[in-house]
Amino acid sequence: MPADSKPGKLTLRAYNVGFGDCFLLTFHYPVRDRHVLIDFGAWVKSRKDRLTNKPQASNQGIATTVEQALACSSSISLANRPLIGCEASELQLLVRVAKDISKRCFGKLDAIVATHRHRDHIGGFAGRSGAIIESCHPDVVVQPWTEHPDADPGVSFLGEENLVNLGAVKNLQRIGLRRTYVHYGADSGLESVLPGVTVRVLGPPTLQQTQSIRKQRARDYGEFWLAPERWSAPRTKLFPKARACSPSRRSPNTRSFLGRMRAIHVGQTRQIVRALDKVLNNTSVILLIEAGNKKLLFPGDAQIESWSYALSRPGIRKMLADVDLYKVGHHGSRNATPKTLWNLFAKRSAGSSSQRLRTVLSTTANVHADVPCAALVETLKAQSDFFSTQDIDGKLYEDICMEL
Amino acid sequence: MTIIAQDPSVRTRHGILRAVIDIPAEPLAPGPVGYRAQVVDFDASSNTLYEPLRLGQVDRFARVSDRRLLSDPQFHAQNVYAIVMRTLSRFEFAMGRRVSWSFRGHQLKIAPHAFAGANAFYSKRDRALLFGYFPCAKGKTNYTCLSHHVVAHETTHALLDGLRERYADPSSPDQAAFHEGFADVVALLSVLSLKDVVSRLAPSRTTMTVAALRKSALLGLTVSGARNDVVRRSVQLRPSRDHLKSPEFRRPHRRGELLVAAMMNAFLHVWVSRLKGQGGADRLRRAEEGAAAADRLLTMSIRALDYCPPTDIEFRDFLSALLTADSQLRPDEGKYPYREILLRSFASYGIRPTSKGPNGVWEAPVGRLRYSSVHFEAIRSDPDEVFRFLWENRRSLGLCADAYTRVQSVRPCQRVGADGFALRETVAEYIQRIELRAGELKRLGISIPRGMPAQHNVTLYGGGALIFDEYGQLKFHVRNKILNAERQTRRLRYLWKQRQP
Repeated sequence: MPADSKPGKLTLRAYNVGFGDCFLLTFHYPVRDRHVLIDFGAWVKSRKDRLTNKPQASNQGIATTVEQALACSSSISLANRPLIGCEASELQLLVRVAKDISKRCFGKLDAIVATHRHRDHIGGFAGRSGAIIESCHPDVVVQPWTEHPDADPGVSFLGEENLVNLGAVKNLQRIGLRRTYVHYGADSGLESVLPGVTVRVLGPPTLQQTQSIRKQRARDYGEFWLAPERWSAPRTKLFPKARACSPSRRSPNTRSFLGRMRAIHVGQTRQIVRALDKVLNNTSVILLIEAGNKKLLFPGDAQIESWSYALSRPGIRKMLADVDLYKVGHHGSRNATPKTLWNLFAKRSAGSSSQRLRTVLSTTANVHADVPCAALVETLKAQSDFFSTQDIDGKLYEDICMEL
Repeated sequence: MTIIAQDPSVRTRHGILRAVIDIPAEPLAPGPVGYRAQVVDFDASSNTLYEPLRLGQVDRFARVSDRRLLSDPQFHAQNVYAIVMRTLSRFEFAMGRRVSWSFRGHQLKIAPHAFAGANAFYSKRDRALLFGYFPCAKGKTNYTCLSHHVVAHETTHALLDGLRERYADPSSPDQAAFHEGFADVVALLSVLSLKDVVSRLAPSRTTMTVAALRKSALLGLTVSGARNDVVRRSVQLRPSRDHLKSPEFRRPHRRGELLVAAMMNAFLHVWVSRLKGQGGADRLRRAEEGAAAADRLLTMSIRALDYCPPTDIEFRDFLSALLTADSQLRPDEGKYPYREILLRSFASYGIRPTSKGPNGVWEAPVGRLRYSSVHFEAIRSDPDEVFRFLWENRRSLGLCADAYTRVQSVRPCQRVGADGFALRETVAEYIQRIELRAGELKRLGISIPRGMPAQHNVTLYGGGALIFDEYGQLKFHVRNKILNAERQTRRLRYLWKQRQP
């Protein structure tokens, strides 16, 4: 058997990135360590928010995300303009983290997993921090199927038309020797760089696989988030044969009204992006990594709609029963750790033991209302060896080691 | 003018259901632009301003193909203009006076292809109705401006907001639902009052039963969509007195369906009762009876707004107003028991009139009122004169003298009765307001919602509608007393739960 046939130990480095996710998973092989970066994003509260200690209502929070994401999407030009407020501290943090990742992996990443395109998960792949990660020459880059550049036109809103984190998305489409776009049951491509490790993709489901996403589509149809291309961004005349006239020839009163209509249209487009932003969590890649006798579950921000498909599949519940480490979904929100899932974990227990379930939460309180959910955190603390990046005081990361 | 009478997706064997309707005659500018509505066909999504429609003496769309109706933006402009003006004129007829839009101004702007979006709405800020368009599954486009229901519904919002501006405030589940429910009622009855449309969609003689009519295309609010046509068929809502308390009916749109269901079931019962004893009535006759029933109920519904309290409306207030409005022009029920049927239908959904008066009609004001210093002519138009009347009779009328009071409007009306005679009334509304801290509520007998801090600022609203007869004497004082502790406690509890006080 070759020397690097399987890892003997692993280290999970959880970075303190505020309300974001960044995990470097290092598999210790006999010859050389292999490194997988799972998400790289951050959300640091602005000075104003810190002073007022004001949790943002979900809509406001998303609005901020989108607007700031728009700024980040053009991150290539960031160097040419002054950094302001939280942007400055956030970008500095991302660069620090990127440098540490590069140092830790000796300039070579084996794989990157970008669970979904929210800024707090992929924001670091843009700009200066993105350039550092790119210089680590990852072999495999794993993303959800919805990010495929040739995705079905029916979901092209997730491609370039969507404004969310475009800079990071573009970089992720470019870097890596091999890029895989995965769905439930697909080959992640990670096994080729991680000998002796089994990786199962439990999400996201495709539209053909699940009706739950379709249901959400139906409910959100009024915001047309999965409508055909022309619909979301018509650039041609609706009635090509009809005669149009120049607004400049109309009365000032009419021209003023046209200005208002344009403003309404822009406002509506922003609402669409916000609506999209809400459903992006359900495009998260869910990975179940099995190394030696340990199982690690990384669900990104997947929420109940996405989980419901995996949990309905035969054998999956049994497979999840002996999970050893669970990365808590969506920063500890109330609907990303379905009770059905939690109740499956056989290794959770009230008393401490060497086999006890470990839970890892990357979050910051007071960013979104009720995240992390107090009831969930209480349960995590009571029934598992719980770690939260909020507990890292002044440090950049915390290492969690596991013998395999 | 030719319009599409329902949604383009509702078709008969002759194709899209059309109607020719009358609208107020006036010299129109290109747009069309008239004295109350102004069509501006600008598509913000593609940044295109289409050439305005020039309406002549001849209806140029009377004989064109369905395909042309759907693909010609000039017809869309005509359709939307005509439906808006018809809805406005229906309000003015019922009210017996001019009815203003809710904004300061006279001309409502209408954009038939405002944006790419499955949406249509009234924007008070922009003084406009904006209609979107969206694709359907077959690669075609749906235009909300072609759906009669959508246009009439949104126009009703613009008018109702002008008549009762405080109904858009958060107050109670009923008030939140009233705007939607009332707009649906007007939209449905507007179509049903078109005899030609009813005759083409009316069921056969053998199926002229209430149960069969509930399933008819006439009673559904249809909007063709990309996947399926969306039909809101509130009339089929199973009657139950528990609906009002059910969590399912807490959401405004859903709760509004209760009002629609009560009203439309009453319509069906009236229609069927009008045909009783006319076993051999032909299709035209059946349609005439249906259109007549719808027309009267539509008039009653709109007129009832004048008899509603100006703040914090509940469905039961509207029912009392509905019965009062009709009783003023028809003291006797006449041949068909409309009011009795309405009472029964609303009761089946748990809605009973607020008034304890005979048959649910508002009661006349009690107590001696002073008219000695009130000038007859002035009280028909002058808010200050009406306020003087209020102030001098504050005790008899039960006003809170400490509250901020404002007379919102004074509107003389001339309504036409069934006997052809005119009924002259003056309708005035006043609002009262008290701003205080939650800790002071107890002093007024109002319970503080659980969890509300004592320093929390609270605003209480009350007010009334005053109906004066043709001699300047007060006929009705329809009010929500500002110091009604039970109502205010209920309102604050609801608002605190919604976090909107």
